[in-house]
Amino acid sequence: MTLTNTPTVPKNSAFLGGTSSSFAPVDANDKVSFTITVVDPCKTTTVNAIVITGAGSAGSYTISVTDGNTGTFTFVRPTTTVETDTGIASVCGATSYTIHKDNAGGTFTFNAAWAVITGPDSTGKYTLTIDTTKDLTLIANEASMTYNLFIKAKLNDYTADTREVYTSVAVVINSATCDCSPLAWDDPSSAGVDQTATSIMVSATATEKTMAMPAANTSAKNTQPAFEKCYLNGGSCSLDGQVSSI
Amino acid sequence: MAKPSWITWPVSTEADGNAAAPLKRQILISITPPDGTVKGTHSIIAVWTPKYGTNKQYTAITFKVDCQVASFTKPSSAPTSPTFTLAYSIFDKPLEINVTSLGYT
Repeated sequence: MTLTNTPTVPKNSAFLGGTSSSFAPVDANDKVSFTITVVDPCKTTTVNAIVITGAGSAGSYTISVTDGNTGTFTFVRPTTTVETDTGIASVCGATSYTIHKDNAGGTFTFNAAWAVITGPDSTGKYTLTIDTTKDLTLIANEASMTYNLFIKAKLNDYTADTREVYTSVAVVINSATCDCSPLAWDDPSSAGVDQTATSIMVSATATEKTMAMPAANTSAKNTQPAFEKCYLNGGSCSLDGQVSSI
Repeated sequence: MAKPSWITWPVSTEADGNAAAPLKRQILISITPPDGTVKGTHSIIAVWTPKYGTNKQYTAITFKVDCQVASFTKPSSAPTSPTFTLAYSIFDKPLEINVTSLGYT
């Protein structure tokens, strides 16, 4: 018996037959063996690069955030070539995202989670959030600092096949402008206020006393980069003030 | 309660403690308790208006007013009866003595 055709089954399609021959096996000599190899195309598929919205063009994504502020940028799940060929969404399964310092999977080891990926939301969007308040060491007295990050998109079911893609994002932290308004004022210490140890006697002669002033509190330097900026390079905020009423 | 007239602020002779205008830091107060009616403990509540930051209301000073007899005139011989002999005692602690019967200036 000879098969007249070599059947070919298109990807993700059913075998619909075609030209064929039929026969009725009579004995063991008529046995025909078939080897069917099913190849999972996702094992070799290409994961397309992430497309970030509002951060420049592909290949040179740049996110600029002023120190003390937060920037957010969105992207959607990257497709795969299998997905494109078949038109079946997520045919290769779920994708996960991580942030790295290089495109070799190096761990993102900064002081705090100032760059995080969340999502997806109800529309399938993921958000890359750059929150400079999470790490006040990102920039000191420089005009700007650039951190090159890589977002890795990985097919969870094909980790062993290294089905992943890195997308480079340059995060530019721009210096904040000095803002002294967070300067706080605390109550004076009781020792500086209480003058009752020695009484003032009823007299026609005036007694002068010095009122205490509130104590300046600059702890906001630890949380507000724009305030901290004022104190870099020996700078400071004026402690001027006046007692406006008593 | 408004600042009583026997407390003066600012003191005109005090220099501005600030580094620059326009705020003028003056923290001296002049206290002239007129009589025993103001005896007791008083607190001055002030409002600090800084160049940077928000206004701060706080207790600027707490002081105590007290009375003492600075001097009195020893009475001469009583003009009328009864006559008595006046003696003075010094105590190491404050002591209230009823001197209402004494003539004084």
